[in-house]
Amino acid sequence: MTSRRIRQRAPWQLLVLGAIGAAVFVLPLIGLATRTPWSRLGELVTSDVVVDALRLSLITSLLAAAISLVLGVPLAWVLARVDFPGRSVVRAIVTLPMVLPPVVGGAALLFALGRRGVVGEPLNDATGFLLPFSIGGVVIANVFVAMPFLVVTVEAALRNLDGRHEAAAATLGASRLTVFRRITLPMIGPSVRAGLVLAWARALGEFGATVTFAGNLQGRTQTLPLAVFVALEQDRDTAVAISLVLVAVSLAVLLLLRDRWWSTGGDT
Amino acid sequence: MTGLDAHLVVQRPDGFVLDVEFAIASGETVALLGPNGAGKSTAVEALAGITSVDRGRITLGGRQLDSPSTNVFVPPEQRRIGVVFQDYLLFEHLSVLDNVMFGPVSLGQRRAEAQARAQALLERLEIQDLADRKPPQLSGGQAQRVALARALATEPDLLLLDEALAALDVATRGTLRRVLAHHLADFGGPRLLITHDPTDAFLLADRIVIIENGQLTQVGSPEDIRRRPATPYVAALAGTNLLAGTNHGGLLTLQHRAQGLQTADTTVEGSVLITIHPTAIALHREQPSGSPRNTWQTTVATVEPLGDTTRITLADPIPLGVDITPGATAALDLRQGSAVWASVKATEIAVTPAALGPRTNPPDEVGG
Repeated sequence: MTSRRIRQRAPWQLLVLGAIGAAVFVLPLIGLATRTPWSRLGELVTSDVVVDALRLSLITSLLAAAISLVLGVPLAWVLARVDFPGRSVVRAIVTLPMVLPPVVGGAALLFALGRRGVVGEPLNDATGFLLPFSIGGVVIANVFVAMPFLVVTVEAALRNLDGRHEAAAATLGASRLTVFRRITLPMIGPSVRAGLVLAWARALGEFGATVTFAGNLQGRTQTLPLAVFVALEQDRDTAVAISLVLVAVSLAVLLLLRDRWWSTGGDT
Repeated sequence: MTGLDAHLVVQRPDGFVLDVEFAIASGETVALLGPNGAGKSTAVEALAGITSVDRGRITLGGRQLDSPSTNVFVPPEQRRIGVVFQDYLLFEHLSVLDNVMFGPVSLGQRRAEAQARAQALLERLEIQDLADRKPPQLSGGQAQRVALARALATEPDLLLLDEALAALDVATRGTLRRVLAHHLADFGGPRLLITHDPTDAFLLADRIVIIENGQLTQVGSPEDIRRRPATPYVAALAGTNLLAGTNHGGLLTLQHRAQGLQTADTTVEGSVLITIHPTAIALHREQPSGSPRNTWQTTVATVEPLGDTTRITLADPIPLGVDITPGATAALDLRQGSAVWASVKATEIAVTPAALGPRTNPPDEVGG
């Protein structure tokens, strides 16, 4: 839009409260910056612990986002479009990880998929495969806490979608799956991408479910948030360095994606 | 049979019931004409297979599409009905060419063939230059042609146009109506035009089916409908004055009106609908000679220029619409509140039995 803009004066009350609100997010970053050992930073962030944790965090969070996409979009579609008994219960259970303390989620995962879990035990007996304390466990813990964000976002988009375009596609001879693939998905594309970014961001910051279900083994299950927690006890400077890495990675991705992927208006 | 044979009975959750029956032969254009809320959208949804009928049947080209009695329901993707939707519903993420190719590709045609067919259609509709554009970059008229091309690309057994001109502004409507008439003639199957605009129906259709409040109220050629409107709605559409009254040997008593009229038609007795064409009424400054029964004094309620005619509406005793030339309006110095004499020849007053059509309550009069 290139229309003429008329600037209206913002009410000072909103400006003051908004500024305080922003300070909540800015102040911790300043705190982090003041404690950063800038001279040793290069050496700290290239240490084995940090490099291992960064690699693991990126791999597991991206995998979790991908799995959330592949499973979460169909789940959102079913919740939005298929009228089945108990749908609201299923929806509540799917969104539960958004409010549940992640530690509780991790414990629940352990009871289900652990060595003695209802699914984990027969799986282990049959294949010798064990999820807890493996990179697979980290991914599952991440999916558990991250996928609800994608499901909620995509389901809302599907509910708001004007179904007449899909009906039009059907009259042109398109099967239900073709309609979904060629019409529905592109139309809710912005919401799918937003949900994906949210899910990835949540997976990257995941701590409680991961540490409970997958443990804290450097190089195998110790992601960046876990590494920060451990370092805070032993080596403050490393903790600060890892935190900065997390901030930098997250901020970079959010800024990069914001324009192209998940801004809905003409924002910059 | 190769045409459409439909009896649509749909009960909507809000209590509205649609119950209409009509047939369309191949090569025939039928307009389903009715006011907003008459059930036209429900009819479109039932025909396209977006909803099912509760009773009745839909048969197209000898193929049963929906028949509750034999438990047949063909889903939309297998109906072979090409629909041009009200606001076109073009797929905005696809180019014009991909929009038109969508149907053939979905039906399993190879991409190269589908593309060739789509391009041929775009050329026929003279929009080949738009092939690479996205729908948001199209004007209303261009979008309409793309929607028509998209519907035709599947080689449907029925072409269904749902308010195809409603989204256009008045200036482009006239042109596009002619374009549409031309392309409709190219399509050999049955053609159904859903519209609330009498001009579309009168100019494009071979036959008009009127629905009001979910019920069929009149079926006929545009000329039939214009000459003998069966309900006030139809009369208003055709610009004709419609009054309710009774006929006793040519002497008409009007409902709720003191003034009577005389008609030359004595074949229809009893409760009747009376139609008077707006051009059949003459206005005078002085009392004219002639049958005093069809001459009365009144005042001008409104004066409205309509291009090469002027529409005058008369106040009591009989509110009527009168079309006269702007010259006559000036010569008579007609303006709001002018006292005038109105006269109609008895041969210009047509009567039809009020029982025609399912409407049970004889309507009150309607000005044109």
